[in-house]
Amino acid sequence: MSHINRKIIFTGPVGSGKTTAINSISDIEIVSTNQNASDMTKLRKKDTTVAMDYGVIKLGNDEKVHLYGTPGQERFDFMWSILTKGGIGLVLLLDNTRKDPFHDMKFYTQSFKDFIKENQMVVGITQTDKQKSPAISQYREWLTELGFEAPIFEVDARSRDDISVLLQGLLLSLDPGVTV
Amino acid sequence: MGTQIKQPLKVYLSDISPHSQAILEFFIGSTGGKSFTLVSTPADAEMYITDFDFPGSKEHWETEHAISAKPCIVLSMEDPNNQHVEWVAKPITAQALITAAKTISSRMDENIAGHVSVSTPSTSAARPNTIKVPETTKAVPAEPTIATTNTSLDQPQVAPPPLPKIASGQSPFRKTIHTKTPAIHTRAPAFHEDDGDTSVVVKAEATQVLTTSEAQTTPALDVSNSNQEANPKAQPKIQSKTKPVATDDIPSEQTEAELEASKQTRIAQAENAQNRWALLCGIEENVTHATLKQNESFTYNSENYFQGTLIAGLRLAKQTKQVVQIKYEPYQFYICYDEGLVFSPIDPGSDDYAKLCYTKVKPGQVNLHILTSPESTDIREKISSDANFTYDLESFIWTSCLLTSRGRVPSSLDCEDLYLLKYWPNYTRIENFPFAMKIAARWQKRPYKVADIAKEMDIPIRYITAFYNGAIGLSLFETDMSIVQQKSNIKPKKKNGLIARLFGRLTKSESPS
Repeated sequence: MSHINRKIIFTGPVGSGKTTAINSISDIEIVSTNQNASDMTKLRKKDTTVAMDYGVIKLGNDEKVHLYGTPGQERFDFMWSILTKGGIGLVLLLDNTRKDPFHDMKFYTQSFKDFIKENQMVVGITQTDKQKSPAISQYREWLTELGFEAPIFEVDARSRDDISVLLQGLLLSLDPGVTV
Repeated sequence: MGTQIKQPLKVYLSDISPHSQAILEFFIGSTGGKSFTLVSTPADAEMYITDFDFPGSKEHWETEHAISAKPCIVLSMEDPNNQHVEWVAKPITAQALITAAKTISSRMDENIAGHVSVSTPSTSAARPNTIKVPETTKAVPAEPTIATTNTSLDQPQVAPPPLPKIASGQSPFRKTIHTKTPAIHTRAPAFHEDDGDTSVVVKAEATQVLTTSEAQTTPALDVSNSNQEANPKAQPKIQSKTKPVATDDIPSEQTEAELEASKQTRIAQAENAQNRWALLCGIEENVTHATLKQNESFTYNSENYFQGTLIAGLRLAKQTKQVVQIKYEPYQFYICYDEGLVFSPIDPGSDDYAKLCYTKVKPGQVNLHILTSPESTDIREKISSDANFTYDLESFIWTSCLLTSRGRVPSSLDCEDLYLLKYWPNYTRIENFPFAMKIAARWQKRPYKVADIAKEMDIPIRYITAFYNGAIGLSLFETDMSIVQQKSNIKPKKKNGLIARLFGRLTKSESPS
């Protein structure tokens, strides 16, 4: 029996919770490449991911879905096209406390536009407990404005339930008739 | 320089901070794989990459250059003004590194043409090393080369072998490749069989990732903080350890009584969920398309309920950007649209609120009032200081609509109309009920009549009408009929079984979706 290793990509700006989200849902402790943040990044968080994060969801019979988190800093964007190969979907996490979340959404959807067209995306809005505005309705309008359709949920990246729902949204978007 | 590199240059990374090294290793393992291949010892290298901003690196390079004169790419903030090196300014880019590699490759090829006499044993060199190397290096035993596919940051690596001695017996370059062996802990006995190969999985996938891309991009790899990163504390933290899978794990010390209590709790939770779903979606089993609007008990007019005033208040708050008060004696609700919050004196999850929603209002019993700016400020302060009575606006509207309808259809609904979901509800914050996510997924792909979607999913129509009521309340349906028509012929694609298996894994022991 051949086992095709498929993956789900987590992306988003620095501090949006990619590492935490993968850690919440992964069946293994994630392999993380955090580095003390330098430059502007350290204003938002102490550590940042310099290469990628890696986690796994096990499906049994040696079958696994791999979870990859991209480095948040835009200067690592050369890695993104590499990481998305073999991906089944994209999880875009956006930090509601950032100065311009619309810019973030625009930047990441454009960066991954080809992948999103071929596959599917789901958007998770983080840090809404710290800042309620912009509201989720605003994100929906922005996404439509950018020409994308995707489920958008508020998530606490630390919550397995939230990340699980986020991934369920992704999978159901890929195949609405999915049966277990 | 347009020259193509025929074979990747064997490069040794010397005097590079851990941060920069991590970036370079990833680059070389992916996009830069056509230009460079990493080697683990200076002796195996055709060239070096070094960081002149790294303390002592310049002196090391000078020593090395005096011995072997191998080409070198120097990374630094300022131009080193040295004709023997290729300078790549920080912040470095992939393109700059590739260009420098081409320059060096070209020079080496020229040297081969005009300098064939030099013969230096090379461990696996198809390209002769044209630089004079002291005899002593020839005796260095071959050592395992760190292949590009083995440079992943997320896989275990073997500890580098002892450094070869060159000439004076001292390595002119400090070894800076750091061991990145993750601590892989022994797994708990409760784990499944397939849990035992984490390291293998990591390695296999990392290999795939680092070898598949040929994409040429122009990243900016900032390695400008070398001095700061020279601090050992600043090394990348690489962890890999197993994590217990919570499901199915039953602590051995759990007594029978505890197990029984746990079972009873689960039964009670399931009963509570069933009761709540009955309030949200009703209990009608036998409603069909034909009977949907024939029986008055299946229809309702939201204007006759609190829901009607609530939706009107929502629209008013959105339009005026002011806080809107709903007076429903003896209660007062406040809608803060901008904050996405509702102040409610009753818990929307309580039976009292369910009763309030399901009971018809009398004329004049419910009133709307737009607060003045000072009043709005006061109430916003009150809300921010009293989280106990503050609820997410969308969640509150969703629950209110469902509690009002209890699976009935609004009298305004035309059962023959097609509806297309434009936006998914915020499923992490709203009350869920069976099939809710699957309904959203199906209804967003293409338009359906209310009854048809129930038929296609083979589920009771009450779940569809419940969803419809919540989605109408939140304005989640597409209003542009041209888009609805456009999507009416779309046939959802059936994906492979992996999606189903992963979905099953995620929903296992979770609420139905």
